[in-house]
Amino acid sequence: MMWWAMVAAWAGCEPSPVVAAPALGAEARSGCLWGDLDIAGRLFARSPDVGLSRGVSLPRMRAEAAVITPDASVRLAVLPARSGGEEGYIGIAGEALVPVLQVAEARYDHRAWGLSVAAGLVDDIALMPVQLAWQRVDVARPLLTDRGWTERSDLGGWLGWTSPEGYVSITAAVVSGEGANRRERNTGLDTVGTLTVRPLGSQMLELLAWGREGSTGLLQARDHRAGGAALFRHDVVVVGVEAVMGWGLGGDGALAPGGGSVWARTGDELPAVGWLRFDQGTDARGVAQAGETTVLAGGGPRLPMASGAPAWVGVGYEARTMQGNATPLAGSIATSRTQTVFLQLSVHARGAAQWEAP
Amino acid sequence: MLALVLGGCSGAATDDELRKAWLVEALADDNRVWLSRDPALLGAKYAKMAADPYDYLRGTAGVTFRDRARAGSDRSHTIFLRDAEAVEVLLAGDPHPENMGTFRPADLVVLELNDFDGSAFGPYLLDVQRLALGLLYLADEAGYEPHDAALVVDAAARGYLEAVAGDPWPSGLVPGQQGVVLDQLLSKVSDDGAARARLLEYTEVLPEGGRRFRFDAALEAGAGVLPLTIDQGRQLDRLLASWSAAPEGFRVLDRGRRFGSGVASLPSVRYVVAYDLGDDGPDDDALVSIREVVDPPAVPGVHVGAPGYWDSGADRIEATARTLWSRADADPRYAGLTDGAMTFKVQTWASWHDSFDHERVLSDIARGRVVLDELVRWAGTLGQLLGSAHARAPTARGGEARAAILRDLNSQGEVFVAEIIGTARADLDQLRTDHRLFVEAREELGDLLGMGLVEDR
Repeated sequence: MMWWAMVAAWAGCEPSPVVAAPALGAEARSGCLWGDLDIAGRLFARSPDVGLSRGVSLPRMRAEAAVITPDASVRLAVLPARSGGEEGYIGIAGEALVPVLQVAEARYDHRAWGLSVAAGLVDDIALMPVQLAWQRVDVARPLLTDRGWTERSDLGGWLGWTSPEGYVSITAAVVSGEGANRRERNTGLDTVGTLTVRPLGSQMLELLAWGREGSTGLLQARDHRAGGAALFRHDVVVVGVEAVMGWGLGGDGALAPGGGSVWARTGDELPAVGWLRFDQGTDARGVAQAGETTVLAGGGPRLPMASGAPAWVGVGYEARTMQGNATPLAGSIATSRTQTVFLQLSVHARGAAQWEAP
Repeated sequence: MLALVLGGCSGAATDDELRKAWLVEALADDNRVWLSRDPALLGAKYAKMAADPYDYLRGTAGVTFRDRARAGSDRSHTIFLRDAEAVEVLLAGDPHPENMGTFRPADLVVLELNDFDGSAFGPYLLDVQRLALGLLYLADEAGYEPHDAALVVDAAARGYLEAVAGDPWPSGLVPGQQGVVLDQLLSKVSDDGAARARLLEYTEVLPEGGRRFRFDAALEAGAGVLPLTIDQGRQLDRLLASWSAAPEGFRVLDRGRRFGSGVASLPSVRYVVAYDLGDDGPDDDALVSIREVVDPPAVPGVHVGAPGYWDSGADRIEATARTLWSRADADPRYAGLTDGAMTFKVQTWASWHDSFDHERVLSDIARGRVVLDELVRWAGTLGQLLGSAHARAPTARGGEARAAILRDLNSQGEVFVAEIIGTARADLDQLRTDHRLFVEAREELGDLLGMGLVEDR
């Protein structure tokens, strides 16, 4: 009779690369049950001093689990959502936090050909390369999702190919365009394509170009994007430069977002974390005084103070500035700038239980 | 290259098409709660909005707020809202003229704001702008030239400033001294109230004693009072049992569900209850309405992560009313109730309590019973009423809204008036455009703007 033993193990059971195929001819892996928990708590003070200007928040909570076999895998990721919305009172058991599916992905890797195919509620293929390099999602999401220019995941699927040694990856996706939290509202599908070049044959330097032809809403408002990024990874520091242009936003075809982000963070080998980021963007290119600027900085020691430790505690600073035509109410000075300082504890723990057939 | 291709192929849509697509999406999001539960009633709401631009205005406060928050779009700029505390004033939410009306606490008739469904903390200008838009629409619809129509908004803005500066609207109404528009409402409610017209219209005394509703056999044009289903009866039982402020001796005589009333809240559950206070005769018989209230639309300008200011939705609508009214007992029966995930408000349903009616105002203008001077006077009164409410309001941090607003105005009253007029004109143009596009969209996509198909998937 076949039976399985659960053995705590890590090596040999990393999940496949997110939104990209493993390199053609990559070594086979063993099967395992994979878990990933990323949770952070924050104490913050914000100016201007109105409303909830001091308090505690949950800047990050994400749970991911995957069942991985040598070629196929399924992956499930869950986020919290405030029932009733952030400003509502009609929720569940008051306005309790409830789990929301972020990813529910079925995937098959054909390593001999360097091919992968995934379907379900899948990651955005243009966002994830930058997000995985930035890593400080517990501080702020990357430019695309921080500005609301794309959704983290969507119903659909993607097909990817990666060359031998991983020099080139190509991924193409077809998704609903409405994002993970909305039903499809039109017959149009979004098509997204990415091209990733790794000139050094490793992840040390990645150059990404991508485009999306899309639509949103009942009347299929345009929702196109194009962008590129350069990502440099080193054990000590990781640096990213990103630029995005768009036509249409959130069902509003008249808007034309665009902007860029430059950032650096500490590498995994340092016993501390640190980050510095500058974003400049607008929801309406060509409209005067519609720019928005975000500055992020901060850092602190890993806990314990060793490279690769799963926890860190640190202080951070965030400044968001909007020009007159970008404020929530046009011209309102009082809503044009917020500054936040915070103290945060983050833990990102991962592990695998390997399955061995005796 | 890709950017050029995408940019080039996306330029074909006209401004109207782009706006219509945004509008349909905003309406779908704003009405999601009704769509999920009772699409037919949402269809009735949309039909009402399509038939009359003022009713469209009433049904789209949330859409207007979304529009205000469309960063980078062509919006009216303010030179105000520089003071951080002035951005978080307790708002009525949607104080257009039909959300103002009479109450009769004790033997006094008062004029008050009477709908706090959209109450929230936010920029005080939003309330003023909604009032100004409603008034400008009426003046424009009545055919006044732009200059004359602007006088109506001018009066409302000045009335608002006067009240905030310390000259509040007097609470009690004296017949014959309020101007034609308000006097007509006062006369109507006095006559109907004394005659208990609403009670007699909707109910009848039983020969064996007691009182019952005159139920409609079926809804006519979506309106009427029907008997309760078993589930509705159970819910009303729970609501009445939780009404801790019910008057002493409260006895239910009959119950029903009312359909077809309101615009924004037309699809909401609306119970009506006939009751007495223990006497067997009809003299203490009366009616209350117990109507569902949903969460207010998101208010633009409130910073991310605004706190939960109230314990519940019921607390929100009850506390806001009692704070913004000139007297907390304007409606002695007013209360917020909770049933599971649903919020309700109890209100007296009597002829003494009535709102301005835009069709009546327009009809009176057309007949010459209301001239421009009277419309201006009425607008000034409504501006004073709103200003008085804001003067009583707190800010989110617990300060005085009056002080925050005065700091924000910074003695620039004339600039404020000019800005309110300018914004109202832009809002009116947008209202008429959006109403036209809304009607077109219903013709293209169907009664539910295409969302019925999405629901069926």
